[in-house]
Amino acid sequence: MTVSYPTDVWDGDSRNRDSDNAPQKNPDWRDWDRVFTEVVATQNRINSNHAGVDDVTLDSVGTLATKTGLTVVEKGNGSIHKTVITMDEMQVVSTDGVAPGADGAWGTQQLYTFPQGHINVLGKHIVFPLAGLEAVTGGGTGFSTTADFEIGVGTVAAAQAAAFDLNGGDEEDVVAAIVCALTAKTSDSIESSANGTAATVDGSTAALEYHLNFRTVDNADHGTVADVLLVSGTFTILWTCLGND
Amino acid sequence: MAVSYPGSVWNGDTDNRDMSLAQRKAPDWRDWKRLVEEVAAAQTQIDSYNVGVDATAIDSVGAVATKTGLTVVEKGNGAVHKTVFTLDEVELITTDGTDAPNDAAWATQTLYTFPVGHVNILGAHAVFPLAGLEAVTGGGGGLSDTADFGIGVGTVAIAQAVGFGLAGTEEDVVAEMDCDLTSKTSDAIESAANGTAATHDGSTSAIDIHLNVGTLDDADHGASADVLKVSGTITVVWSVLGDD
Repeated sequence: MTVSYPTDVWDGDSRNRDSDNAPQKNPDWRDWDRVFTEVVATQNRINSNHAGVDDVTLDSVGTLATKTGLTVVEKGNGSIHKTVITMDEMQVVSTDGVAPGADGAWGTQQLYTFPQGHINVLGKHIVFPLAGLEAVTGGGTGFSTTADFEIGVGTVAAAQAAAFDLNGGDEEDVVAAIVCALTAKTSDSIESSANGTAATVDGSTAALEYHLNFRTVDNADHGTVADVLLVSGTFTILWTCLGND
Repeated sequence: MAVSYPGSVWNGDTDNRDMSLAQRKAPDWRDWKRLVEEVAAAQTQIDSYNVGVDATAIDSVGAVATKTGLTVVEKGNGAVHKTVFTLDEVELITTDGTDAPNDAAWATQTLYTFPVGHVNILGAHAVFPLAGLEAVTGGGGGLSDTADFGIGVGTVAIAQAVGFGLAGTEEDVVAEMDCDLTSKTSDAIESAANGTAATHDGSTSAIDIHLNVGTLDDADHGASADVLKVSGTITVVWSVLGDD
């Protein structure tokens, strides 16, 4: 007899007893085996519920991208989720623009994919602590040691473009561009943004994704060789999926 | 052997058995003791989660102010909280304006302090039942027996100021309701609901919310202090988006 919870609440039966008969006998190893598995199932269910995991995909948590240094903690329940994404020296490759005089160097990293449906984001916040952004090579072959760039979160990944800065649109439609300045290859101040204005995005045809994007401010910020930006910080999203199709 | 949950899910071991050995023996008192501990830990965690208590302070509940007659019930979880305040004859001291013809008599009481961070208030509601607002002295020495005043909830405590009623941050959580006293008690149910989300920056210092009262003109209050007894319910639905 296997564990019943959470499919059903345990009725007290085990391979040693039928609780309907109210047997007055001491428990044996079979009773123990069953009660232990039911307790473990209960503890697992508590943890799962606390993390917003739901049996219905539409109401459950999304999926974190697989990336070294990128982790998530989910809170909430089947109605509203708080997704707290931590970036710990996550490496994002920077690529110079095709025409460096007119095209910014850029980098992007997918963060999260929501369940398919209409995603109502109630609020979000991002913070990169002092020195939370760091160029690995620097020196101007890749990033300049004093590079300036815009960083934000959007529903579309940044790519080569004939422009500097993020595009003012879907590259930064989740967290608007934050202008960051490096000093000695590291960010010289805390950078943060909070937004509590609710908005709904249609992810019913294709699941909504969030991407961390950056692009340099001018040509002097990056040379022609690829570099790596180490990103540390926290990104929090308060959201729900209203429905699909 | 100490209880494992919620640190980790129980592996079934007790002082009487090692589950990895698949021992087929009846449980004894040591198994029973551990079982009770694990069940109690699970029940405690259920209770804790149900009231929105979270191991991470930023995701947990705030702190209610210490005041006779003021109690709170928390609901929700680490994502969104519903904080329900009950006021049972909470006494607010009223103070006349410095320049009485131009300055409202006022009173204030801190209700709650949120965790440090950006507080997103998704909605709020306040209701004061018929006769839920009562002047203790009245008669015009303090509050008039037929005083009119504004009452609301804001992120800043009202203080002496030129003007009557409430304004701005004195009523940015629950907007001012204009209340009328008859024979020193409120003559109608008063309520207000606010479902427009607003974010308040409590990253430098934690956001407090305050129950504020301001009279509507000079005739509502005399020069002496009085006490306004407040009974009702205030509900706030909120989340902290992040800090810094």
